[in-house]
Amino acid sequence: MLKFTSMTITNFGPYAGEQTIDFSNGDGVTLIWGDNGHGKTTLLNLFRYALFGKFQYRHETIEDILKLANKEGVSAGRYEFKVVLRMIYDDHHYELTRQYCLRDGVTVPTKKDDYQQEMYLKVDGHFPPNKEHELALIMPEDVSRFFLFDGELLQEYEELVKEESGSADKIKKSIETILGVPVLTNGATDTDAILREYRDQQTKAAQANTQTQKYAAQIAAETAKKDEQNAELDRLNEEYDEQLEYKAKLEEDSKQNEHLRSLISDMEHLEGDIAEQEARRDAFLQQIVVCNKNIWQGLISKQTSKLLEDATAELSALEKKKQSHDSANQLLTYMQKVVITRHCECCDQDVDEKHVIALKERLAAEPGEYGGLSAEETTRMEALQVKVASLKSMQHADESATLKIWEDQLADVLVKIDDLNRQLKAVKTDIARYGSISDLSAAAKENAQNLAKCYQKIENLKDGIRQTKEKIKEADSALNTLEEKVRRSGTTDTELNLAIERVRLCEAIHKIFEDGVSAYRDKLKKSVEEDATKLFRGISSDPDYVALQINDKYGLSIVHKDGDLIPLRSSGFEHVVALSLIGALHKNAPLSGPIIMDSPFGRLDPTHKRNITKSLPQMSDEVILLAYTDEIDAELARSLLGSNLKKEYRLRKYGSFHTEIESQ
Amino acid sequence: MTNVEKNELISVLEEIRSTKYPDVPAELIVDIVSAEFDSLDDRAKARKDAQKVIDDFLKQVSVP
Repeated sequence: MLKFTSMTITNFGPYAGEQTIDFSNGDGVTLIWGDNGHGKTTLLNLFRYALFGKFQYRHETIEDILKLANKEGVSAGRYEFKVVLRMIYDDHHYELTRQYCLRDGVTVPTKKDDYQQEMYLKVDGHFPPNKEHELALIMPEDVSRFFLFDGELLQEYEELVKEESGSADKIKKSIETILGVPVLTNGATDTDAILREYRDQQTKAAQANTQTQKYAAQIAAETAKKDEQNAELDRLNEEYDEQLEYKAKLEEDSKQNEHLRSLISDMEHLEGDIAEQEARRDAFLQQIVVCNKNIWQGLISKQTSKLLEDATAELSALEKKKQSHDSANQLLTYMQKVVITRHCECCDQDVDEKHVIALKERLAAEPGEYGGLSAEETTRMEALQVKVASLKSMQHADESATLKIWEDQLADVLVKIDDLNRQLKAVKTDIARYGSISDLSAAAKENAQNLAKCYQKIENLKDGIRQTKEKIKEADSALNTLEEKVRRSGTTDTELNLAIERVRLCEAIHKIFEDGVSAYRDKLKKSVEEDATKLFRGISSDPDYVALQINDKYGLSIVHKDGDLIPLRSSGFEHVVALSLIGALHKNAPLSGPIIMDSPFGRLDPTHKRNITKSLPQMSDEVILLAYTDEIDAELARSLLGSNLKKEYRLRKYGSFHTEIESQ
Repeated sequence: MTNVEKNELISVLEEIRSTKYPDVPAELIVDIVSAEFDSLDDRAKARKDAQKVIDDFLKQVSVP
């Protein structure tokens, strides 16, 4: 098994200077903690870069290598960067170095061509003659997905349980590669080619023999037919593979179109929401303007209310005085009139002398206390009336509380508008990646038409492959009959008999490989299914999910205790199944190595996180887990892993372009 | 590929060989598997090496 023992990073990405991360030699798990932007994904990519010479960022290969150098280093004039990965495989020590150096004559790089990439491989201290081959033996690139992965890559395993998925065929190929199936399929192909050569020799020997000449001629004709059909089968298979890839691309584009449509719908909703909130904002602003207009009156009211109170009291006293005088005056005038006319208009009766005298006495005794307002008082009362009216007009309710409510609501709306605008900006950025929106419907239509054509073509190719295989089978049968006739001709021709014997044995060798492929596949599927089930049951939190069932593409379906397959499983369970599959592949693969996973717990609940952490040592002898803080509880992880925890590091950021790998 | 891992793969072929084609030597199959595995990244070399293994074996074949 391949094991990583240490990695030294120099001036690469966020890793300033030279830093070494030690994985030690024993079995177990290395935990590397790092928050977002601290260099976890870069670290995963550095393993990939060291092994395969490619640097990926979010599944895209980075071509602009100037971006890869550490910015702090570059500022200090250190433009070169490298990574050294130390490994053990089959008791041999490997030291793999990949570095970007400046080309001769370049002092300050400005473009990628100013750099050249160099790779060195030392095995037990020596440089092997074919370093690329040595590397491909211990870690072929097409199986890297089982060793280096993140949560996004895990999601792709969902394709394996879908019918007719182009991506599934690609993943299946990778799975068969890690399981060593190509050793047998290549063996079957090569022994078939070798068998054809021995058949040719047999035909030549038969042609040289008079007894078998006529059969030899027929064999030559049948062989030519078969070769033609084989060439046709190769062409059809190649085209079939191309169409599957094309189909996967079209399906992906179709998904993108769907995604784009959903983005446009989001954008429209957001624009609607923003318009609604802006209308609310304007209404609130209007209310606030009105409130602000009135609020000074509220302030003045407080100040003038005392003045109004005093003026009203003074006015009231003067008015009361005036009212008393007017009433008294009116009564005296009436009494005087009665004295003069000796008649009371109130009761319409004449007044006798006795009462007239009494009235005269009363009038004469009038104290004069009902005197009217003086001229000053009258002027004062008039002034007070104007003042009170004026002060009353200044009296308004205090609107500061209302203003506060409007202002609070305005603040909420402004925050909402900002949030919505931010979301809209993000959606528009996503949409901009797809180019012109107006082209979308045309592109989607074309995509759908191409997809329909592609489906039809795949069906036609399948038919063609089936028919060609039938023809090859017929040619084989005819050849077998003819060869049998040659064998039974009872010739004593030693050369011919030797050629016949060689064909027979070569046929047997070929059949061993041919039969071995399907036997090995069946055996692997059974083992992978068993091991994946074992891992799955250890991880799954649902006791009703009792097993995993494998299909032809190594896709795993969850089996319910009732025996039914679970049709639609959650994203979290997709992760659990994918991790179970990867663990099982590592157990069954002739190619086995360390598993390095970047933040794989994203969609998992605490129980599954806990169970997976516990299962890590069972997935591979060496596991390197890159996790952000709190992705799993650190103390819990330590306790679950126990003695299986080999090393623990933290990626600590000391600046935008400076991360240090610190041992915990 | 360690011997243990190689045996895992070879055991499947060995079962077929021993039951259906016992006159094919077991070592021959092991050698072909090794040739194929050692040159998984170089198909031409794998075929050349496998052919040499088979040719060497068939050269020794004789008929009464």
